[in-house]
Amino acid sequence: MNLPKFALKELMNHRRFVFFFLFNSSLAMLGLVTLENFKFSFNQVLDQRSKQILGADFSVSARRQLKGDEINYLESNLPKATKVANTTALFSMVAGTGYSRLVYLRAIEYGFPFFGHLKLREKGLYPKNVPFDSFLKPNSVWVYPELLIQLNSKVGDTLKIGNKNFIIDDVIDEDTQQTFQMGSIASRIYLSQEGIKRTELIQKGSTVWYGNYYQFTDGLDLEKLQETTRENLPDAGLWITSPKKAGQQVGRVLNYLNDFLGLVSLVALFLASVGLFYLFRSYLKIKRKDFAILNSLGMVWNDIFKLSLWHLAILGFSGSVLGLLISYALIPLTNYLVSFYLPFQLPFQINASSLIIAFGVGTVGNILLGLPLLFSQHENPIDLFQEEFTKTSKEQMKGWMWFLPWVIFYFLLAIYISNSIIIASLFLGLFLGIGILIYPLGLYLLGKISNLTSPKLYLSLAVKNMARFRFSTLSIFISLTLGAMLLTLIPQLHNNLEDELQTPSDGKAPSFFLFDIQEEQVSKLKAYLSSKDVELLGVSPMVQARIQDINGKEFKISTTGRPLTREEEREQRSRNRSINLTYRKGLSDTEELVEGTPFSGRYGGNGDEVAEISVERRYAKRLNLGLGDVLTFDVLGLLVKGKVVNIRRVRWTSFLPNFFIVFQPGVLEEAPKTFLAAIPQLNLDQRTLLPMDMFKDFPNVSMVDLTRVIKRVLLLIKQMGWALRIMAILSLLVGLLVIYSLVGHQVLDRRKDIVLLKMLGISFSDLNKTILLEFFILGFGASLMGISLGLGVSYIVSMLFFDSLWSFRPLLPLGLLVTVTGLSLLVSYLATFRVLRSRVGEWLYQN
Amino acid sequence: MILSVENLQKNFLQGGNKLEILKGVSFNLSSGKSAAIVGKSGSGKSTLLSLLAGIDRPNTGSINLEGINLIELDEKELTVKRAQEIGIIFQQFHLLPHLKAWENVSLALDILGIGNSKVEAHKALEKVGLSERAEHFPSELSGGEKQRVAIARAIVVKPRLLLADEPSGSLDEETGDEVMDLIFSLVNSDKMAMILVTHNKDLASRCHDQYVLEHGLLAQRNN
Amino acid sequence: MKRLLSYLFILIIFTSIESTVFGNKAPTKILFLGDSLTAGYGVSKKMAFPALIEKQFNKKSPGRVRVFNGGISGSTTAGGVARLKWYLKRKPDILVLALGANDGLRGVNLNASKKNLSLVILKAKELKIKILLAGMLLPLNYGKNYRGRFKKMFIELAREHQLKLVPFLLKGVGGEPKFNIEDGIHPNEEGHKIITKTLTPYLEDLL
Repeated sequence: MNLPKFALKELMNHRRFVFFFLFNSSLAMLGLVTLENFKFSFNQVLDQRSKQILGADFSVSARRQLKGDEINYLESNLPKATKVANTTALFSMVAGTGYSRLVYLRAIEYGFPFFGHLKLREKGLYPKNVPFDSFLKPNSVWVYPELLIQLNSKVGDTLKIGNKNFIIDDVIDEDTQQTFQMGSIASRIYLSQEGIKRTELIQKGSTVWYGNYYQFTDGLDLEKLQETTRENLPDAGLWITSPKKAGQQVGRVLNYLNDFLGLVSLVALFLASVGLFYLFRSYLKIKRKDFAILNSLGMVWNDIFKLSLWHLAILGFSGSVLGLLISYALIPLTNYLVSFYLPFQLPFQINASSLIIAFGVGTVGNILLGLPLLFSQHENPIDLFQEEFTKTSKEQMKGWMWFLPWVIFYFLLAIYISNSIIIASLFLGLFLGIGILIYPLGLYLLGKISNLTSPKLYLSLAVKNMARFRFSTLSIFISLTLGAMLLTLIPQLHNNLEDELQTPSDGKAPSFFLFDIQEEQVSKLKAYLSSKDVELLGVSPMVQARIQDINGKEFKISTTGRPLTREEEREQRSRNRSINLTYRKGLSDTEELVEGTPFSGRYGGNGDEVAEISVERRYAKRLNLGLGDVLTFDVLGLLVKGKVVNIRRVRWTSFLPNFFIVFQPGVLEEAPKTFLAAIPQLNLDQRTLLPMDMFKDFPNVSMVDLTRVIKRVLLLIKQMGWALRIMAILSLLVGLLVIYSLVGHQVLDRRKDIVLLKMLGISFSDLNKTILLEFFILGFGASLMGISLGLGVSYIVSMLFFDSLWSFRPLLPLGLLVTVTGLSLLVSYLATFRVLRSRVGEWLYQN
Repeated sequence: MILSVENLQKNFLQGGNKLEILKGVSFNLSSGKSAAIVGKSGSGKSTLLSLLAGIDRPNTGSINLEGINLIELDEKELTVKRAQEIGIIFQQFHLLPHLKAWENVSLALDILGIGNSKVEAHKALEKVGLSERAEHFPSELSGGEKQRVAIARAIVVKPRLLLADEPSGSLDEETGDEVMDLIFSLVNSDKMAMILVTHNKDLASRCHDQYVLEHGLLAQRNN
Repeated sequence: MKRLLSYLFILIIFTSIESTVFGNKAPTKILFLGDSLTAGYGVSKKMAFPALIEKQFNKKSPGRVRVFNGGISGSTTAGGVARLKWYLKRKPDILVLALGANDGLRGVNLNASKKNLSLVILKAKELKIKILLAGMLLPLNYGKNYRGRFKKMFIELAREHQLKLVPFLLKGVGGEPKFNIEDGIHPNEEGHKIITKTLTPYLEDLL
């Protein structure tokens, strides 16, 4: 017998079921594939962005020209590069009318940056739209707009750099390579390599950065390349960079986001599997009779088993294909909707991971999920979910064993999706743990109430329904619990991340960072700025100190024993040495108390008493500091003791001056200090004029223009926020859909009983009360349990993976409790109603 | 006269065609009497039975049960009427799998709000000879035992009319005979009227009246 | 942001020098007021030139000098007076004034820098503290004009206040990769030894 063909024919006879199954599974696929697509494209955009910041795939730079052996190594060991370019950069002073300006000169070759661009006011995007003819000549430069105003010049004017005159050829309105780091302190001037030679500023005794940039063919492991190059060129004077590192400013948050997206996919995957499992289960219930007939006609169980596998395979495969097709068909629409909020597109392409997900879950996963349904007992393979009160626990164990292939499969897929064995194990362990915990407990409790009776018919019926269908009750309870847990987990983690990414309200993000303000200048500066209608933000005194000891033990950073990378070494050195202290009455707007108590007030001691200090959370973690620890600081030669009275969280996205350690007032006021402050967003005129004015009246105050950088980071954060929101909503929808099909099928499983009860004369209201009560207990109990578990797990996950504070918003769990319970009730009510409306006789006389 | 059926008609729509299952069925049944309805498969026996049970509604005609026309009752009244006056026994037993034998029986009383249901249920089980199986679940009972539980459930409310749809149809001959003996003896002792749908002529001949359902019409056949 | 902060404000100080063996005479106290060069950015604090100087002088005659390292990385001339006041408790006898490099590297208005340094000098003079002024030069890339004005600032200060001037603190070190750490700006241990040599004769004079 041709089983696949027969299976297909059989399915054709169950069009309604097939439609429902395909609808559900392709919807789940749609969610998963979209998630995967989203993750993929988001990662791509981020990769692209890191590449844009570096401008290349790889770079080696130093404060000197590369040495011969270094060049040799690079030439013979790097993969064949498609493009190579050199840059030369240095700080210099450019003469303007009356005074000079510090500028950052950057010489590039035509075609660089390989990724990203300079947006030129007149020529357009370089390098894309600027032909070689229009590129920088030996005597021309491109400048940042503020420099024009600062130097009172315009395009076409000449500018003296070093000893030579240069023509201002164009203005750079956007530079994808601008970061926090080099050059933030000064305006940039781009020129050609010939041009920088002309300046004659590069001589012995100049401080110059030489950069060597490479572009390779796609698909190279750039981080690996970075590592091996580092190993072979260990000179600490060489900076070897790959894009991942270049984009590291917001790297921590991006990593969180990636982990989060992985988690969401995992959750959606699990929920979808549960939903499909229930669907197929109900299908097998329908088919049981048919299989019995086939058996009676002489088909051996082995073939019937294969036949059902074929059913599953056909259904699963079609579901995968359909889901994929729909999701790809929807991409233009999604793009259209998303384009209002996201400045990037979902790629209209089939990427490997979404294919793996779709066919993995839809086809392979489906077949494996079918095994426990088909294989529970040898002599009667499709009996696991037929309620048998005589079934021994040993037989039930045997049934559960058939979940093992799926568990292994899910585990592997989870590792693939989350890219982390720890996360995958944690998740799987969680699911299994919950099952193992709830199952025996539930059996015990249900056994206890099994014989309870009540004069209220609906009450005793509901109790009996639940207690006597123990297996169904527990499996739906566990599924609902897991569903509710995951539904809690995702938005909860989303909350945490959102808190992390909370950005200052409009206009509050600073455009300039001021440092080196002297004490006597603070009030003058405030007055000066307020005369210009500019507010000075986050004014903080800064006192330099060194940590002498912690709790009387000399302060040393423990080493891991392995040789340190240069970055680690540098970090250790600076950590070993210094800490910037400030003092303040209490927390600022951008801070939150995590542990401990606020300062008691002003320091009242005479110098011998220990002062109160507040420590930033991550710093405390790094130095292993807790409440009550006493630190001794060497403040420019004087020893000052501080006791940790609280640990606080600082919102770095405020972009305001932040400090790891804050003293209570009354201790550090006498110490030599400078002040830090920020200036809120200004319009372009103010942005360019203010620094000039300030330069005259407050020459020592350094201003760093953060406008562009912050704008970019804020945009990125906004994008991430949307990514998070969309993902959370998608997984919520998948979750609710699963709950819908769970409850719906649970009621449909009972339709014969419902009809019979009706026939026996039960009133509609009693019947309804019975079912509603049952599903209220199930829905409420499971969601209460699931939500509590979800909160607990999100707490653990926050601490373990997101290194962030767990933020609790009561509205979410309450909302979910109501939604899940309400949805269970609504679905069960609708399903009951549908059963009751159908012709009773039909059910009774069927079969 | 406990049951009086007049000009019962029932049509179904199938594929756009009107299918006339019952074209005008009339008959009477006195209390304490039994009537057998025989007919080929598909002749409309089960449809007639579901109309009589008030599970389904006819297109026209009337069903008078003790002077009350079931057709005129609303759903709720009909449900109560059925629960109080009519006991039904199915070929497939239709027991609730998660209720013990006695609970299946007492359920019928609980639905009507009749107290002391447990005692009554056990009495009914005793009547059908299943006292010792009262605490068992349907899945632990044999086919004959299941049908006895169903019988106990049907008679526990002391109905005036018993509808039995091939009660022995799913049982082997010996067990089927035992079940039928039980039903007839209960009908006699409790003075119930019974309509027995069957295609077994031997069984039919044990009833007071015999009808043949053919081409949508009911014809009486003499004993 | 954290990165930015640490990048811009890695401001470092080493001051706690182990108490030296006291001789019979009270040691001469030397205060170094400077920036990252003085603080010894990038090398161990015992290898920064103020510590080397103390070691060197005390080797010949133990307890001769006591050094206070008042270097703060990234500091400019602006906070000079306030910082000097903080150290007055230590009653320094000699002030080595090594500020100004950051002013120059950041391209600030040099008139202000000069004024700031003058204020420090006047305050020290008022307290009868001997002063050694350490001059600096800017990297060549800062352009002839600005470099020239920067260099001139120290010469003028020395002349106006009649001070001893070290023309270039980083003489023989600046611009020499082998005497600097990988950033090319801050001296390494060898570099600090050279600075010590440069300063020694001037300090001998003052002592």
